[in-house]
Amino acid sequence: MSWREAFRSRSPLSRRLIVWTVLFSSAITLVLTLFQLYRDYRLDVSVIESHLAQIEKVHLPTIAESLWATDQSRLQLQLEGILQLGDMHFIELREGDYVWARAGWLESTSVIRRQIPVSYVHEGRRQILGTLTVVATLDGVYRHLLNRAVTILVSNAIKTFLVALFMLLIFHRLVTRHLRRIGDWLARQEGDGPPPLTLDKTTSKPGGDEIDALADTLNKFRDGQAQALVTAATKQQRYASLFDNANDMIYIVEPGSGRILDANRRASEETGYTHNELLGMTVKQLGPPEAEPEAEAAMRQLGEAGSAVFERTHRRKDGALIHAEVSSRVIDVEGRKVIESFVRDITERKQSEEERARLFQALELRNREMESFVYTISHDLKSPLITINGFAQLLAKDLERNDKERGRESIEEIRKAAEGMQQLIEDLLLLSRTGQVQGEPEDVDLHALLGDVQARCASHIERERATIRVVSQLPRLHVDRLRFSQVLQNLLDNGVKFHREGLDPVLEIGAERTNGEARLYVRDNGIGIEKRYQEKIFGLFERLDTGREGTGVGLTIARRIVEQHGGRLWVESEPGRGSTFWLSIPDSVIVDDSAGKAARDIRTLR
Amino acid sequence: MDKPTNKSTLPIRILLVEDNDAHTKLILRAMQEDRLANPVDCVRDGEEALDYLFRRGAFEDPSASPRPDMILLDLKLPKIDGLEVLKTIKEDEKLRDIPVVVLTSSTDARDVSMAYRHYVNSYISKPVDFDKFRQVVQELDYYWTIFNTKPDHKTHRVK
Repeated sequence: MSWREAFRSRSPLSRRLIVWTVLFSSAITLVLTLFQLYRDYRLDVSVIESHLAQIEKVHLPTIAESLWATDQSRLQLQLEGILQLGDMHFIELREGDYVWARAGWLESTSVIRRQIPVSYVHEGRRQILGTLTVVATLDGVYRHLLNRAVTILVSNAIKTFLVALFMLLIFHRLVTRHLRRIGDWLARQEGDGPPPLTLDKTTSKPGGDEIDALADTLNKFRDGQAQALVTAATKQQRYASLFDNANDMIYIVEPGSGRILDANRRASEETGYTHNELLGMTVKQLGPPEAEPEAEAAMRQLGEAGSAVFERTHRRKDGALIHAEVSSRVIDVEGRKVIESFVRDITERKQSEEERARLFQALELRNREMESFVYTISHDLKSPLITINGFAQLLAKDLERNDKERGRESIEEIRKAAEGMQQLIEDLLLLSRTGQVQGEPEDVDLHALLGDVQARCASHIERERATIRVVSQLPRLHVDRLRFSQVLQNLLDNGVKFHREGLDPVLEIGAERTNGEARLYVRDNGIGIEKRYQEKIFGLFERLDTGREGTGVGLTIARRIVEQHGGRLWVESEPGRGSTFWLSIPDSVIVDDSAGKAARDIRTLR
Repeated sequence: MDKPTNKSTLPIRILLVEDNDAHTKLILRAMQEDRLANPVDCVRDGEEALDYLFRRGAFEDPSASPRPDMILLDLKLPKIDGLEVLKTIKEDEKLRDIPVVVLTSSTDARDVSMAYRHYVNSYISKPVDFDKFRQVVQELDYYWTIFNTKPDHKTHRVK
């Protein structure tokens, strides 16, 4: 690129500045030159005029004298002398048509012609002798003017050129190069952007000139821009980081279709689907088919309100159900509306809520049980007190009357009531102990345990002439020995106690497996229990026949112990035919080791 | 069937529904002490009481179950509890006229209100104080013999 081209293409501003400067300068120069030339012309012409006036004043009298004297040669000399004056071109002295003398020659066209009458005063009278014609040429004047014009123009041209050059330089130094620098700098604003703009100039005064101000503004703009870029980038990065590392699943979903446009790492972890699998799915497919209505309802709410918080069920790839809390809103991403959903697995929370509700319910049940327990106790404890108090008063009367017979009866009633009360309190204590964990569970051989219980009830069994038969192999159980023996004893006692009149009690004890559940049973041939009382008998202090001994606590205790071991206790019975008390045993307490052959037996029993 | 000459002089017949034998004895003794010669039939649980009143089971024979003039009913009873018995009596066309006095050691306000909801005629807590207890029985007897005309039930009477 030649300098001119560079100048033209890269500095159009400088070029135009120079062109206009030169044009203006030339115009000014021209006008000033013309003015100057005109003044010079006037000056030169006035010099010629003064010469002419000098001729008239100085030379004319001598010429008139010479003419009077008709001295032609002298006249010729005189005229030639005048011709020596500057710019005189031609001079002629005539008297009428007679030319007395003539000097110079008439060539030039630009002349000043002057005709001066030559007069002579003779004897007081002035006589016109002739006419002197003087012609001064302007050629000298013109030559002079031309010279001057050339000088002025050339000098002015040189000056203008130099000034222009200087201006160009100054303009370049002060403006153009900075502008170019700014331009280049601005051109580099893409991407991370250049370092702050610094100009290669010294700043004259504080605050600088317009260029400094511009650079300053640009730098400020740049900083702002950079800040904005950094902020935007940071935001983007922050969002990306949040998106990737969030503890919640995040889905970006297409409204309408429900297509998953993006999902974070957590979503893959929680659902078991890979990122790519998720991208091919819709949100509906995230849940089981039966949960679709909730998903649709949520979508509707989202469409109406722009955001929605709801709970729904998600299904993992492996089929496990997740209880999810979803917080969705419609957001605008580069002009496109999408749904952003934060999904949190609240399965545990849900479970603990349910657990809490269950516990609460259980607690309420326990409270009601407690209430009725206290009610029952207060009633049943009051009863013997009423008896004692009543018979004590009667006893006083018996003593007054000295009625020994009656007195003994009263004392007997008091004694029985006190005894009953003692039994009641002991049973209550026993019952309250079943609410606490007593011994550590241990491996218990039921055959051995049953032997112990039988030994304890021996007198009762003997008195009622009862037969106890073990009809099948019994399992080994991992249970609280003492309490389990309590269960067996209570069941055995009941079986012996509620026998039919005139029929020796026969009790059969066995084990079987029904519907996959291990069960023990105690079967008797006693009086049996009507269907409607079969559940009532397990209630505290519930006795169907108050004529028989007992406090109505035994079965309550037995059931509680069985339930504490994870089993159930219930009765099947027909009045007049006998009862069978069933005990379900959870597999967890059945000992299944090499010694526990019975356990295997009981398992294979069908 | 002879016509009673003076209804009011006849001691009223009481059906005592009480599972506690000692209490039954106590009530009977109390009546003896005060020379109350009321005939008393005793049953020991709710089922027996209803069997008696409806003449079922062991009480099929009308002579074994004369219609009582008053029922003394314990609330806490085996098999069928007192409130259930009360409800059944008051829902029965023939039995609802028989005054029922709930006699129990319970002083629970809920029992009281439940008993009244089932149209109990009177409610008396078993007093631990024997004299008061006797007084209650006595007053009951007076109440029905002196101020009330007994419903005609001579056909149920055992001669």
